[in-house]
Amino acid sequence: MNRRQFFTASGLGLAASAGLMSRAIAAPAEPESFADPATRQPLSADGRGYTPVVTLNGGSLPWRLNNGVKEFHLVAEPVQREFAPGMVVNCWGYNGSSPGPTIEVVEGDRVRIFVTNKLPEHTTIHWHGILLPSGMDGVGGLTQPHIPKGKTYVYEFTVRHSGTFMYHPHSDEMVQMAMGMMGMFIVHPRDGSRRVDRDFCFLLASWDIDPGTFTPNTAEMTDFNMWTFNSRAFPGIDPLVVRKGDRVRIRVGNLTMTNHPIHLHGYSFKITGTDGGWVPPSAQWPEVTADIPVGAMRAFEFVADVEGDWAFHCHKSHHTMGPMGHDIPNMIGVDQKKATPKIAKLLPDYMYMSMGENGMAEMQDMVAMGMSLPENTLPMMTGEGPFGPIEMGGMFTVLKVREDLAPGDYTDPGWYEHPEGTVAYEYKS
Amino acid sequence: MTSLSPIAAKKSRHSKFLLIAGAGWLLAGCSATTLGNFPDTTDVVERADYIDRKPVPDLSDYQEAAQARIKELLARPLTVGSAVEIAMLNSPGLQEVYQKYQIWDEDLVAEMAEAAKKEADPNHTNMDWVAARLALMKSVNTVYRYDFPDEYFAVAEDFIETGEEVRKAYFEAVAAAQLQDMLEHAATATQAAAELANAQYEAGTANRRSQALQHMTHAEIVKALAEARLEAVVAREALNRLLVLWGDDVNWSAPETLPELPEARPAYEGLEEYALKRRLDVLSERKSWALWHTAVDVRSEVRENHAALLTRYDIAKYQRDTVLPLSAVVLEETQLEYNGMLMGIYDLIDDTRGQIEAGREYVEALRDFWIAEAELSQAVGGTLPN
Ligand SMILES: [Cu+2]
Repeated sequence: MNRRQFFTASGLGLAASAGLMSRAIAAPAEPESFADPATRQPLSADGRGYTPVVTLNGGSLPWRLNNGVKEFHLVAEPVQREFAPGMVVNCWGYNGSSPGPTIEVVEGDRVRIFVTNKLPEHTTIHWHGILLPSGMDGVGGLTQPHIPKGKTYVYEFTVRHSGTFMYHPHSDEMVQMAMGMMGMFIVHPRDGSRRVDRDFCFLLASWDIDPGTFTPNTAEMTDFNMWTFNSRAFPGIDPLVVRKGDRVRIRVGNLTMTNHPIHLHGYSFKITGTDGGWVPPSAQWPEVTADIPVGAMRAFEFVADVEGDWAFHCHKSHHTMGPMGHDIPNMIGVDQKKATPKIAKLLPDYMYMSMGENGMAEMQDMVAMGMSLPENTLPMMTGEGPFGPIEMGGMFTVLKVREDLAPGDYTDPGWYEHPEGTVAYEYKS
Repeated sequence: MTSLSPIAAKKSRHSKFLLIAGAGWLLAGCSATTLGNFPDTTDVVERADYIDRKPVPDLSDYQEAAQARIKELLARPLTVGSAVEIAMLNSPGLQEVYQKYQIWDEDLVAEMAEAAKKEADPNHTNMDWVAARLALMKSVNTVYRYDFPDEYFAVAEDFIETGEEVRKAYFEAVAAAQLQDMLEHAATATQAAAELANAQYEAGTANRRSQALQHMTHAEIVKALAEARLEAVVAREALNRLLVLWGDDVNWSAPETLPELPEARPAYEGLEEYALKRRLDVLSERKSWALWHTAVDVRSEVRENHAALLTRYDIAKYQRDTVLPLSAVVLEETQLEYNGMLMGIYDLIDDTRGQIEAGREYVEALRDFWIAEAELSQAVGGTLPN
């Protein structure tokens, strides 16, 4: 930094503090806790002509209207997140949860977001994809001072464009995002256009959590072992419940370090939005898999006209697995019966079983038999469906389309009851 | 000088009296009149050739009784106590002593057997000390009038030294067998790994390099096992030689494991004074300057051996109570990860070997503890305080 820059920077600092002092703002509302990982009912749209979003295993943050400004209060803090029953992770997040609650507003709204830092280090929030004054962009050091621990900063801007956005720290970003700090920022069109019947959103995250540990290893760059929708892993991810005939939108944001081809069974859909805005109809083409690039968002839409339980998952097969060893010997087709009795004899107190000779599906049987795993560790594959083990983990859930569902009812209807003669069956000669 | 024991401070004129009083522990059970008749060393020189003039007695009765007792002892798994007892009965050197001092007969065999049975803990039977005591009692009862105290003590020292050697050889032999046995398990583990590597190669999931690496690991254990087997033979033969065993007698069995570590840490109080009252080299020393020097050495030896015993105890206990449980945790967690396909079979085999290795280190530490106990026992004159 040269002398001139130094004075400029100091001058800006003074001006900023003078500005804040002159602006009398009421204290922020008590932050609402989102520690419960159950999917919340959507907020009310107050008759403003949009369908409020459903955040998978989360919810939208209520606001306080203050002289026409929507005020939100986010508290950055260490949180505990249950990824699925049997695994709780020491994360960092917002308002008791990773991801933080969804901020949901309408195009043209003036928003004021109080950010209180209860982390052990400084932080900021960057409003990913939102067009706003540079000084509100939340890049620590570049557009604002980092928010020291214990301090509350205020972001205030007018939301100019509708679409699907995110928020995340831009301050020790690698660590803070690897610890789970992220959230959705949904902006509905003011004119009531693009309205759908059900509008879901969630964020993709990757984690390196060693078997038997509780805290993500933030130093990992590539070899992750947990893959989540909104910091939940199958079978901990709630289903997307939809009424037959509904027009459905699903919005997905990717804050991992790789792309995720998110695949929906039973339907083709069109990608209608990115974090850059809405895609004109002429540019939409039908797909069954939406590849979500790193640091990007996609919204895709379809009409749910066929009932059923439809798998919905990342198509990278390792991303639909629970934790597994990526450095284990390849045992496919390996006859282990010579060595097995020797190993079993050496370990008399352990129920040794050879594994992997005929594939890994036996893993699910072993889970069902109550086989023990390291503490706080989910099985590599799990989940029991109406026809047997589902053998999945990570980024997997189910779109449940049902006829007999009231509008606005998101209650899990249970497994689909297939009409007679519509299920694959064993051939008998 | 003032810090030395009263023994060292006495003039030579009084030391004889002290020696005799000090030897009381060996002579416990003898009548007061026997003690009173203990020869005065200042006027026994003219009887120096007494022993050479004695008729050589017949050993056959003794040997018959001794061999019967030895057979009886060898029929059961050998304990350290029975090993020492066998050495006391069977050693040609000691038999020569029995013969020379006419203290051998079938009664000696029976008395030693009787004394051995009284010992509640077979691991703490100091049969050498028992034998020394019995032998000296007998010599006092029969030939003391014509004997020499110097030789007297030298003979008893032979018992104690042989006993120490036997005890050390016994623990070496049991430990070597146990270490070999544990290495057999490790070899089973690496063999299983090598077989898995073969099966992997057959199935096309491992290349020849990976296969060869598993076989090389196994080969290292195979060589180590050959060494361990030889060490077990060497240790067993060393004991056979001390016990003077041959023929079918060498087929004795021993417990598969060393005696467990005692519960209490063997920290002894006043061990230097205790040793000075019992060490035969101290008791036999008459010249005050030599006595003083011997006492200084004895005190140092006792301190050193006591420190060694405590250290061996602490290491063995640490290995057993801390390291072994840690290796068990590692193996247990590996098993859990193997369950979840988080770790592979070779990891499981490696950590199984890790636990076997931790167990082998415990056996070595336990062996070193018992050897240190034998050494300290010898350093304090043949037996430790209860
Ligand atoms: Cu993926």
